[in-house]
Amino acid sequence: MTSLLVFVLAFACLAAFGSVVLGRNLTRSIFAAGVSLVALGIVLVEAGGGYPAWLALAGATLALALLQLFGWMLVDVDRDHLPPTDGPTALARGLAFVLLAAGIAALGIGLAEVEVGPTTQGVPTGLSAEGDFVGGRFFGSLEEGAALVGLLLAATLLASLMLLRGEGRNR
Amino acid sequence: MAEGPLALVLGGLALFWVAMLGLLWRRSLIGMLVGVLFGWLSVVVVGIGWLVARSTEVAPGEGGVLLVVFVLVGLLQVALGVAIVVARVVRRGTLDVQDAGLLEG
Repeated sequence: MTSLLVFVLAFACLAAFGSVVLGRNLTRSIFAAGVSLVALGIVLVEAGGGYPAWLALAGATLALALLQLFGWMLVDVDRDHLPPTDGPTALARGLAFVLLAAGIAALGIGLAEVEVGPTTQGVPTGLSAEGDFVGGRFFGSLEEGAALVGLLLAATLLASLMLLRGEGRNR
Repeated sequence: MAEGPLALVLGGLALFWVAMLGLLWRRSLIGMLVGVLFGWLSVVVVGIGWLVARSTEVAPGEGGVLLVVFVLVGLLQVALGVAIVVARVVRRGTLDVQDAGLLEG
């Protein structure tokens, strides 16, 4: 198990290095950073990181999304056109959407399998004990409300992106 | 220290130097920003490895709240950076990256 953890961790570092190297191409850099985040998430969760790991990964995903958003804003809109997407960039973009879809599907499956009531499992190890407490505290009774707020935020972000694209075209 | 947490600490240190490479190399703006993100993540990885190593069945999750505070401070820094960018765009109408490097106005 430890060797697999070391391998995934090394892969995460390699993907992070690739993200830094590919910084001139926004989409490829963000894709490599996303791959690194997924690998880091696997490592942190498998190592018993508990709720701090989930919180850090959520924050890192948010920061990566903001980087993608402002990267799009930094595109030179005065030319009134974008260069055609080349093959590797289109492939990276497609894989990014596949990863996003897989994450959403995993989240949905995880939410569907949530059991209400006291758990019958053994004593939690690592940092997961307080994680159960914090998760139940914030997402126990407010779970549906939190999902609704998340969907509204995503819809607002998408609407803002569409408005930004419209402003760029009208110049 | 067990092998798992030790791997986390060493991997976090390696990730930190990858992030430093992005910051010191200054090859591109996106590379530097991604470097900042991974620098923050490397601290989190090292912290989680350290806390998992210290965690026992008697006191599980000891120090986890402190790590959450660190994560929240990082998120507040992200929010502050976004606020600066938005304020600059509102004030000047555009985000001139070359001019923004001067940190004036």
